[in-house]
Amino acid sequence: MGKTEERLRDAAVALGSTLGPADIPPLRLPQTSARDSRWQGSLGRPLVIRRWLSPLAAAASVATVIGVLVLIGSLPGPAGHRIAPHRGEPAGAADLRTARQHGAAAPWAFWQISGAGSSDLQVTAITASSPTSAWAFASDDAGTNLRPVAWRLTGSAWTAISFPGRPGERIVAAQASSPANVWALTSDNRALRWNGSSWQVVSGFPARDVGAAAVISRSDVWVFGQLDQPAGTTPATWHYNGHDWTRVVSAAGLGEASALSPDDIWADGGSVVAHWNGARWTRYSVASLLPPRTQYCGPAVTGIDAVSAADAWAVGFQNCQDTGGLGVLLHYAGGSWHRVASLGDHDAAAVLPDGRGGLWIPADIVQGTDGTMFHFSDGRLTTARLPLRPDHLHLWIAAAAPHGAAVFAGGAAGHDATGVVLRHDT
Amino acid sequence: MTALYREHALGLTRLALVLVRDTQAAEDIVQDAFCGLHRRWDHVRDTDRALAYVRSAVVNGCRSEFRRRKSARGQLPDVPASSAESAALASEERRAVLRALAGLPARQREALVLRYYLELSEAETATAMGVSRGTAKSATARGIASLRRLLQEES
Repeated sequence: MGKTEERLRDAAVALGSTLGPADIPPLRLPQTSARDSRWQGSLGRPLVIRRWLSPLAAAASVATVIGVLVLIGSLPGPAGHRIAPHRGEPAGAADLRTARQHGAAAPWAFWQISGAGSSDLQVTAITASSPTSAWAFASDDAGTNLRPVAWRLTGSAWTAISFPGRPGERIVAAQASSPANVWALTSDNRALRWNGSSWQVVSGFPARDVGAAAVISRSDVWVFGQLDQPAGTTPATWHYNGHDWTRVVSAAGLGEASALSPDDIWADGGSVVAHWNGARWTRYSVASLLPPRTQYCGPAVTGIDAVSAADAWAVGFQNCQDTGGLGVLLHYAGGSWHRVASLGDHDAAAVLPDGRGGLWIPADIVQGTDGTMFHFSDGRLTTARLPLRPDHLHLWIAAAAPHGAAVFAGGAAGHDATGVVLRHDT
Repeated sequence: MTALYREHALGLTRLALVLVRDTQAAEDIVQDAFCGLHRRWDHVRDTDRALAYVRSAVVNGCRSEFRRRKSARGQLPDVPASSAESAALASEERRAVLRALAGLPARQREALVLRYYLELSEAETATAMGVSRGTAKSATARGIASLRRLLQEES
């Protein structure tokens, strides 16, 4: 735990300790029926529901979140790329200037969110259909009710594209099968589709608490999430055939999905990995391959990459209270899952193909200070040299272009934790 | 549910107190959260699930309380310290940290308190905040960065 975290804990514990058992009043339950009491708190405070914003207020709300994704640096690679000029002075630029002195062994480019409202935005989803055709989505990170922002990468420039997001809505997953078939799933349980010229809401989307999607084509889309039912939340999977949504037998639930074809999809959730062969899901428990479960640790799979029906990769994390825990790399081969590498004290966000038979694994260090990008090839795990200082770097999401032509990772960097997107071209 | 209240009311009220800096409001928020649990009790029998539900309701209640105060006064509150709080926070260092914490955006404040005061895992923090694990991680990282900056500015 860092010094700031220790100071916070010390102050919070001191404040909390001003209350003792004698200060806690007895439980007062309402005498009204459940139906009546829905509309006010137990102390009778009325709940206020704001139904809509005035057009002017809505416009002002949108105006405050038009951040700009600025190309900060493109390090010299084999093709001799030049460092692009600054277009703005984003927060954390000092760190980036220092970072350039580190150099890099691979052609990484990175962009940082800049502009009005940028400090309240977080990159929440990325999807790529080629190294030069991708989408990045940023959403409100501070609870200030901003609308999400969508940027499209064309060539080497990101352009903000009109997106029908709602105030406070987050893009929780994005997937594309082509530049004209891009899907975004939101925290408001909406599915939106880019048809090549505009974003449209897909009607009839029934999902709740979406975790991941697999987009095969315009008429073959899988969504993985969970339903809140009386007995608690249960994993649920939906399929879209171009016209209708159908709830199908559940796969792994919330988590990641990696699809190769309509009859070859891998998905994960908790300590389960599942494969769809076109007719049914086969579930594999990988609990014994993850770091140990203890009273304070709930290990889980955090990312998956499908190579074929007989070949897949997954990353997992011990997920311990406070201390974090260990990360692992798992491989499905020969009909079963195996543990092939330890990632040390790292929480892997994803596992992605590098296009040459190896893997990229973006990860946070578990104490929440430094992140890294692992590369796994020929049985060896190495750490990529990124064009960003590793301290205060966080990588939370990632996406690969088809055939591993490029990998994108998103997160935050610098003392101000400004949103970043990284790209590695194979 | 009475047993759950007996076991966790103090801890949850302390959580609310750290988030809203107002003992009376903290007690009310916890009472409201248990009232909400009472309405759902038929659906939430499992103790762990019930605790997760009520903890999430407390965090929501604190968020509403902050929103209410902000809209009522046009700015975030500077709650006067009680005498007990004054004694416990004799050090200016602690006061500075709590002032900085109160100045953070709601989501970042919640993430920091849940992670570093309650020592919840990222997954549990995300559940309590009602957001994805990635958002909880992001809010924690950004919160620490903001807190560090605010404390540096103050010193």
